[in-house]
Amino acid sequence: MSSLASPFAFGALVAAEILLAAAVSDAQTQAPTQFHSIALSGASGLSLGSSGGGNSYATHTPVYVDVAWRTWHSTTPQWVTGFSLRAEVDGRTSVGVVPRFEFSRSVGRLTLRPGVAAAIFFAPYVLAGPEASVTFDLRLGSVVSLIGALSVDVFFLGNDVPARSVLFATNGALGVAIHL
Amino acid sequence: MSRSTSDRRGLAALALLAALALGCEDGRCVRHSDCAQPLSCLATRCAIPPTDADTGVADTAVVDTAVVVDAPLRTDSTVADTTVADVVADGGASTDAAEDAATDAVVDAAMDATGD
Repeated sequence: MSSLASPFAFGALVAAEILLAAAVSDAQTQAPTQFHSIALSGASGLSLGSSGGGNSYATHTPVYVDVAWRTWHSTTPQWVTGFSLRAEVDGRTSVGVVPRFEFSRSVGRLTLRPGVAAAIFFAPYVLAGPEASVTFDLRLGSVVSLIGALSVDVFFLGNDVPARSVLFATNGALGVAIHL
Repeated sequence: MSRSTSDRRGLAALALLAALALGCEDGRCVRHSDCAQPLSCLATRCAIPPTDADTGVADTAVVDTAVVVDAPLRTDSTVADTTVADVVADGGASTDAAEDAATDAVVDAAMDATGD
């Protein structure tokens, strides 16, 4: 009897060990981790100013530089938060911040991040409004990725917006990101 | 056939982008910061800002910025500077006078240039 039980007991022990090792490995790879990335990009596009009386005028958006920090947690990698420091460098110099919230979806090396943000220029003048964007993040390696973004802004707050006017902007951005 | 049509559309789009990339048409704006000081953006044109005392003057205060802005380049700068400074000092109250003065300055400069 014991000679029959012994191989079964040994087999059970081996199976248990394999299952335990797999569980430990799984736990190690899924240890809660906070991820961060820093992105540098340049952008421009089309701005449309619309005021009362049917007056509207379209021109190019002043080129701006955007330095963005993003963070997400390993347990909820699909939700990304962060903010940008943004500076207009074309015909004027202004600075602002852009807090944002994004949904992240990866397909192979490409990550798509549709999101919403608030673009707030505060110096030397104030210009603010909501922003909707889609960011494309193409991994080039374990650390660096190429990023692009399309965004739509609606500015209606601040002393840079003419009275009774709304400013629409559709911009494209291109840059690189470093994953920390 | 369809390819040439799409080519034309592509070229048209490219031309539009190139035109936009060249920047604002003189005197047009979408933001106050598009305009040189002391002008503001009123109804998509750079113009001398109205004051509270001139309520309702906004529509008539939109002057041709080619006259106001270009005046210092074409005329005696003292005249032009005085014109703009006076308007600012008046808070925009004497917009018509400023426009007349700037126009006179341009005419004077043109006469000077022709030797009359």
